[in-house]
Amino acid sequence: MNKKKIKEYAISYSFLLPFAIFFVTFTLIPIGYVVYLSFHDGNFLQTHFDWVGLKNFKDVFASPDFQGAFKNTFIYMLIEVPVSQILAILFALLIKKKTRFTHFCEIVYFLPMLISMVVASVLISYILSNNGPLSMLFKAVGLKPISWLNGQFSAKIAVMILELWKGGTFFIFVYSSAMRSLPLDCMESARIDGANALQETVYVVLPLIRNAIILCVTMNTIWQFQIFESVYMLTNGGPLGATQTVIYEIYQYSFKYYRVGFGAAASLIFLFVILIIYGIENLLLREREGKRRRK
Amino acid sequence: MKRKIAMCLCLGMVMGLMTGATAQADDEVKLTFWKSPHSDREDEIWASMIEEFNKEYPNISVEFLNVAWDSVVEKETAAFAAGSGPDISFQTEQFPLYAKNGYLTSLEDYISDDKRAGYPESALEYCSYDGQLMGIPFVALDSVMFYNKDLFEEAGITEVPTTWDELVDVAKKLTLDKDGDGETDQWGMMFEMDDYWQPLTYIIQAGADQWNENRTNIGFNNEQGVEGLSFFNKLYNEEQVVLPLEKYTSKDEERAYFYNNQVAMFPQQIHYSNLIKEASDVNLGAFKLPAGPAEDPEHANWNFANIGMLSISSQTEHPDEAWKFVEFITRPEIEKTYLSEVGFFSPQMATNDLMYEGDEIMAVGAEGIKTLQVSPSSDYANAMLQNLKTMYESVARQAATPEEAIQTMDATMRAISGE
Repeated sequence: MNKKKIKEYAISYSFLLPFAIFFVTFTLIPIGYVVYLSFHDGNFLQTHFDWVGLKNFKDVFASPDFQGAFKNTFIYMLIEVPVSQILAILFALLIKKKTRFTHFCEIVYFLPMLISMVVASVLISYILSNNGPLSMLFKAVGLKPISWLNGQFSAKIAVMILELWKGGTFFIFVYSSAMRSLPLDCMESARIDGANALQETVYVVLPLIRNAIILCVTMNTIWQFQIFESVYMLTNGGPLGATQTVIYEIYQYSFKYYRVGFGAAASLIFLFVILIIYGIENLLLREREGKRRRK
Repeated sequence: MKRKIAMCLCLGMVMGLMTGATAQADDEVKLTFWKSPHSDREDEIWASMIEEFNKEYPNISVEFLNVAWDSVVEKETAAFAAGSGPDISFQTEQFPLYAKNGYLTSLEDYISDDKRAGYPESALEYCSYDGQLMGIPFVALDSVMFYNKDLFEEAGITEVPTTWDELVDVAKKLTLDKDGDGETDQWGMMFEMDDYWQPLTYIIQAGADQWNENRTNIGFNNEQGVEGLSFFNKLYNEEQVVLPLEKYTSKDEERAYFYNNQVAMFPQQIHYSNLIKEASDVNLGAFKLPAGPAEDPEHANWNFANIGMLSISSQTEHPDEAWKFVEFITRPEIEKTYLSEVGFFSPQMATNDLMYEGDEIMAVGAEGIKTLQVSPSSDYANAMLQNLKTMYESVARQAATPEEAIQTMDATMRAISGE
């Protein structure tokens, strides 16, 4: 390789350097440290951690708290992801066509994204409280009010409502922009062929925004695995651990119970689970793309 | 020429200002002081206390930081680990964790014999780790049963309950369906949401201990522990004399039942006296928590009591100045300002003599302070507190029997301590 080539490479790679430094400092080193901690016991106040081998991993699998938290996290994911995606597609369809209300609707959809999770949690907890507006509404129409944050199932629903309202609106914009960039000729030919609105949506729009759907489902799945603030703010994991999530438990064990190694082991197990699910989604996607190409 | 003189004058003024500023910066010592709140007026009270301190020590400025209870452990841990812990901090039962890892300064060399003599030995022992005094006792509290005198009078109750059986009888008389719609609208008592301590009273009063010998797990996974938690279950579910959980979703909603004369009795820490008086017109009284069935009086009469201390960080660059602050604040005539505002007692009897004269509620609390049985400190105190709440809740919601709830708590604590 001549000097000129080396210089070219050096210049090219030097552009990557800032990101590489950032990536190594804030991603690789912390991951390495988490791996180190997962085989040790101690807390952040200690200068020395004791080697415990696989004990932390065994403790995580044996902990009833973590079993419950894993179950809850999967429930959130299995319910929230489809509901959130279906609603986002429906709302995106409503604003697909530009009308005089489109702009207003966009602002309304966008508002939850501007509010911080803390504010959103306080707002939702007020709405769902025993003396809140929702209870008053129930009473006004002669129904028995629900103590949302007190029931084990209803508290889960409350967390999902918050997640749906706060995070779900993002997907409306992804779908809406995907729909607006669809080729018009496809729609027109569908209409000429006599397709009604439902048929047009099912047979033309949805297949064409498939990539956006895959992106949103993947992102939403990962987000659902990371639920923390809504649980922390709204229910504090209660009642009776019914709303605890894995991230919430990792936080509890690491920072409240001082078992940093345990938290690190749980984080690695959880990372592994997320990677498996992400891998499955990717496999399904690749398979379908393969099938499409063969057709 | 004029221009040159003006420039020289300006230069002189700037240099003078700089020298002055440097001199001031050299003399002034800045300290940070972290404490979690016991009052809504915490910042205001400390501002005036620090102002008083500055009259005596004008060169020491103290920055007070009000750290929320639910995040104080995380914040202090992070700060100490990063080498930037507060110079002075308010510590409770969690302090051994910091002391063990060398983040607190031993005050043995600072405290004078006179000052030491002002405290009961048990208080100093509580604030010590490995034989070294790690904080100056500052706050003492115990628990009492607050009650609504008007509701007692309406129900024709003239004597306050002194035993568990009497408590059940009285609570039953005070649990009523006043409007006759078939639903209870007045309850005998309530336990505050998120309160770790009051239901624990029954467990200890039955004869069990809070901690095991190593203070790494509960000491009530036994017959007495089950008996105590069964009494809690009796109040909640068998007799249904406690305000049910589904009636409220926040502390404010729950307290409103007591404030609005819908709950007659409320076991709580003594400083709630001030909170209740400020928030309501309840005709308030207090009595000693009814005694349990344990044979030894120490267990039978147990009520949650605690000591809060002022500690100095080993990371401080100004330990002498920090001591001056701690010493000043814990002088009887000074600490009484804070304690009486908040509704606490002092571990120093000399201070208590200066406060609450003629206050019949505080007189009930003062009796308990004389025989203070402090809740033991432990590395795992925070974990214990978090999980006690879940244990009570699972019994109150009938998700587990008292025995099952205790066993789950035991298993959880074992997982946390890794033993």
